[in-house]
Amino acid sequence: MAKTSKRRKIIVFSLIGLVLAGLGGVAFFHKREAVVTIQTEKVVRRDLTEKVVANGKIQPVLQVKISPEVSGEIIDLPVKEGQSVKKGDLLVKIKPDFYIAQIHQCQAGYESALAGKAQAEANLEKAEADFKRNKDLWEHKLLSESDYVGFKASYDVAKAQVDSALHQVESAKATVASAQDSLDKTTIVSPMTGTISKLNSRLGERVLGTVQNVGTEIMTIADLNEMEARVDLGENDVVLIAPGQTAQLEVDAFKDRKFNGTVTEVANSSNDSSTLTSSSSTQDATKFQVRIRVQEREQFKPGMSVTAEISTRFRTNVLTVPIASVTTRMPKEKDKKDAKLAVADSVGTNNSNGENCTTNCITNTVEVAKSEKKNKGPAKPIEVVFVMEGERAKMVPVKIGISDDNYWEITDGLKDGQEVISGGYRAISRDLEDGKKIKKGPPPSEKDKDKDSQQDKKD
Amino acid sequence: MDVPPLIQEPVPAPPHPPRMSLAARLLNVFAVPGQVFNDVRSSPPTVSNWLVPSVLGAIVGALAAVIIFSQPSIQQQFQKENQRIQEAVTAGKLTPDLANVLEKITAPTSMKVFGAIVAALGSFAGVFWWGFVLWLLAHRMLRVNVPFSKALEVAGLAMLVDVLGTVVGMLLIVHLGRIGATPSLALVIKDFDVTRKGHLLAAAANIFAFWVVGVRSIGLAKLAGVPYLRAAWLVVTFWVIQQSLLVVTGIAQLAR
Repeated sequence: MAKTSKRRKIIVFSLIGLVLAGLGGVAFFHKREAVVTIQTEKVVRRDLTEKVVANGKIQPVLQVKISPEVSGEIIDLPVKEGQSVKKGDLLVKIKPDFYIAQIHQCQAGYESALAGKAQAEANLEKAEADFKRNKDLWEHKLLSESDYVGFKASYDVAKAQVDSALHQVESAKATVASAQDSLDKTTIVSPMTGTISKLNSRLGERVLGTVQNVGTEIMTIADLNEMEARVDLGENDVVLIAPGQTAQLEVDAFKDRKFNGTVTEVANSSNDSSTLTSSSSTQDATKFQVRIRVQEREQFKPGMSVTAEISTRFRTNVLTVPIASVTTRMPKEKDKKDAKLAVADSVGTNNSNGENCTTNCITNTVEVAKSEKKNKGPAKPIEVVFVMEGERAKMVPVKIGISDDNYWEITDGLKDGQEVISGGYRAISRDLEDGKKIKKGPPPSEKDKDKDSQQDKKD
Repeated sequence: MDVPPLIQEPVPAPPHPPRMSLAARLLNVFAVPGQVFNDVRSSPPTVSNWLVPSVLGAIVGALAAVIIFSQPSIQQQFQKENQRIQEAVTAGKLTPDLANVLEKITAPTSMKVFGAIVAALGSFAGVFWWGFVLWLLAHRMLRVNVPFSKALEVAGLAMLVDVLGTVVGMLLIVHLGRIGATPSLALVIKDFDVTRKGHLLAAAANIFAFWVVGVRSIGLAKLAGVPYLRAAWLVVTFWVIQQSLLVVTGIAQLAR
């Protein structure tokens, strides 16, 4: 009985020991890794067009704001908003009474100046005659020196008075012309053929002239046959834009239609550069205005919202990967060391000519120190792509070129036909590391994506 | 002369087998549970018979919870389980409140803490629960007066099989990287799903669960002095009903 019991104990404990040792050993030496579910795409050659997207408004190419040069009450306004006008058509008439009176006043002043001139000329004639007669007397010693000088001075004064009167006449004449000009300016005619795109004033309103003030903007005339999109671009994008580049325009008012355009003008200064102070607008992004001429004619209205896709660069038959495949990671320690060694080698090579290196060595030591200092700086993340190699992901640093909406151009690091990981978002942006175990699976549902993004925000 | 009858000398009682030490009881319950429970029946009540296995179960359970929930593959699976729970809520299989509770529990840190606490408390609760069940079965079904303390000791010692099951289960889970990888029918289910009752039933069919039910049955038979099969019939029936209720009510889902 005891023998059976002992044998039983040995068997049971041996079995337990074996199971525990076996499972423990396997679990210790072969820990199960987390498997990341991914989707892949092949590296293929494509044509890429890099586009810059910007928003703005539709505006006429030619647009004139009409403001009066003289102030007064509008007594005639024969146009309406949206009306077409031709060059020279009457737009506005301002009450001219004040300016007519001003002309009369100036006219009187002019005539007075003419009379003054006639008087001065008569005085000159008399002074000249007196001077000539007394000059003969003085030459025959029949007139004292002082009297002679007195007649000469009177003659000179009379001549000067004639000159003055002449100038006064000219001045009065100019005043009359100016008053006439002001009177003429009470009638405003269209400077161009176009459409009244905006009418701000009404009949009977008093308007201010632009002579001394900003002036009232009575209306705007625009040529609606030639329209352009004025879009704002950030400073990073504006450097890619040049006149002549093509663009596709989407006007909100014309759904499902795309218009062609050509860049005609790129602003040299940012929109707010004239008003920017050191403290203001710090939160606003710097924007530059770009004008794109719309090639099609359509019933555009000034101020319509437009989205422009400007084609900036184009590449044919280049290696491409999906946009989602490219991510950033901190460089590996090994890469950093390799870079350091490469610098040291290059410095060493310069010095390997076997000459006396007193000066060279000092220089090289300084260079190595500099490069080390450079390497010690905070490491910057590099662009990488994860390539599927069997059941593992391999992190490959890449150099990227241009991109369109879906693909990046890869200039270095990948070969045609390689299988790169293109999803899911969380896997590429966070979970994947070099050598991580992966398996292909279906892309996550929209709900899962939302969850991932929420988790990312939390993290 | 009558010869006075010979006074028969009392037959000396058979020598009482020496009492087992605590360590011997704790180990022998795996191999010769009958001997251990005979020893328990004939000994005065001993608290260490249920306290030590309970403490051991609490420590091993807590450690196992921390180790299992630290595995990246398990954490990843819990994220998937969360998605399934959400789907179950959408399908009306689970209430949103219960789903919220489950989601809070399945966060990595809280899983470790919560798992360790539940495992520790569950160890004591399990011993007391099965002690009560054995006592109840003996009283009501077998009509035998068994002290509750003895039933508790049997339940405590049988608990050691559960402790071993926890260790084996933990090693399997760590190795295979699957939450359902226990020594049960669930081992063959590739995509173990806690929301599926069939999967939970498969998980309940655990080798160590069968073993511990067998040991408890031996314990009940020894305490009540009834044949093993009679005790086993009662214990197994009770265990099957209990597991079915746990699965049907969804409590087993929480336990997983």
